[in-house]
Amino acid sequence: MLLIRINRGGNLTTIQDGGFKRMGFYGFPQSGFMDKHSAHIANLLVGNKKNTSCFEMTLVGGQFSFSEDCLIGITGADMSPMINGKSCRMYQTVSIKSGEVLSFGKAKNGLRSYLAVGGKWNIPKRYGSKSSYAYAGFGLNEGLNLKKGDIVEIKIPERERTMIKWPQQKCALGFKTISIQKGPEFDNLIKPDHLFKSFRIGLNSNRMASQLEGEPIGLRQDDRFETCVLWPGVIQCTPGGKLIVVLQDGQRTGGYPRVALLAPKEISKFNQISIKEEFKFVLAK
Amino acid sequence: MELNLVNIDNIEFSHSRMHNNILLLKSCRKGEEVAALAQKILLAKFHLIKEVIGAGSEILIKTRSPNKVLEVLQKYKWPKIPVTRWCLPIRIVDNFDLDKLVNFSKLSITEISDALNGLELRVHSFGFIPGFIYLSGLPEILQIPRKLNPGNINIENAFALGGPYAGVYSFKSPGGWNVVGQLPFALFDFENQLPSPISINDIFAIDLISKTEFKSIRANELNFKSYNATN
Repeated sequence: MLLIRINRGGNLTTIQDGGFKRMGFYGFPQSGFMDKHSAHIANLLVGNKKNTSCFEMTLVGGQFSFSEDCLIGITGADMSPMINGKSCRMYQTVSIKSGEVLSFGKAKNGLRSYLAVGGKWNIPKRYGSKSSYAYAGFGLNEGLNLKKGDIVEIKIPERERTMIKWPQQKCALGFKTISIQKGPEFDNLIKPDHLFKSFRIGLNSNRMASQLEGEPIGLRQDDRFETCVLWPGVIQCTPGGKLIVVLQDGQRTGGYPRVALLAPKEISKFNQISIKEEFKFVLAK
Repeated sequence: MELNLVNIDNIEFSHSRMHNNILLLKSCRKGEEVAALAQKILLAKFHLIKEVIGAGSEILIKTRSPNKVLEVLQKYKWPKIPVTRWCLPIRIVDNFDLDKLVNFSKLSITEISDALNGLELRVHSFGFIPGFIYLSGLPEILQIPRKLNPGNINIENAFALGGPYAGVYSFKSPGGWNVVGQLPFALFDFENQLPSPISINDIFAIDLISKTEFKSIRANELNFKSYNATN
């Protein structure tokens, strides 16, 4: 059994997978990878199924030691990964030797980095997922940032694995435009053009939602509007004209008009835009 | 404008597709009726449907085959879900927001207790955080508005009031409802798999319990199901 010991958690390092299954009705979020695209590639690099658990690191990565030889794959934001102080390649299968230490620094581009490890992650499933979900205290260290001394057990498969190199240009980073569709309450916008000015990801953003900084957006009062369903990618507009993008750990119901939507593929790109970074929305064709 | 109407379990919905995997159904009716249908769709376990959420007059269905799903939902023979009457033991707690309720209602703590004891509430929906249950049927005098600035709900299984609804928190979390009571057990079991035994429209009859009774239910490790089986 491979034991991965966390020496340092980083800024927000959690374990994520494909998320909860059929639990939205009971108020559970979708949960899971914020950048599904990068996480899936990481898992493919090590021969796992694409929704196998991964470490998801945010802004600043952690440090991990490995008790056995194994294969790893790192994708997403470039946090300058190093094995025993030597630079380690991303977007290709890398073999790690027993006793080696893998360290990550601050993201140079993007926001979230994925570390996949080949094998079966020995973590209890809750409602179809091994994901950390801090709000309900689910997962290792109650879903909070992994801390020094936390240990993850992984059963390494016996059979040989092929080493894979991924064409890195396909990753979801570096996009400054995010395409959106009109939301169910798009017509509540007084000047829809305002949606296409520049925005920044606000400091108050997390796995539940991203609060955008930008010029306030005019919204028509609609007294008939009441509780509605939400899902990751919905862009809500508050009465004060602020945009809130509902993300993976976000609520399933809400009371603000849904003026626009991110297409599922755009969510991965959006979730790699760093705090305070500027971007624009464009209307999808 | 093109109106796409479907009739599912005698409720008329307009439908639209959001992205390629989300089907949004909107009805003129609201509340329990729509939420109850959402639960029926969930419990019918159609393999084409990956997620179902109901809120207000809407149902969201996650599926890769929206047209097929609409066809199946319209043809399906929907069962009638029997209404279960549950006993909801609650201990009044005075160290949170009970004083706010006293101020709001102009009732004494004894009068509030009398108003709550035996009160029958109806399961309206599940909600905004995992396992949260909205209950309708609160008398107007107890309909204290939610707090302007949400605080932290620092006890487990808190019974709280917010506007027209009473609600039960499934775990400690930030929240804007007024906590006036506590249940001796969780209504939503985070260790076990679903389905939850609780259905939309079920009746919860409040049974106020003392601190001693509260402790004894906990000591006997009773849960929502076993407590109701013995009462």
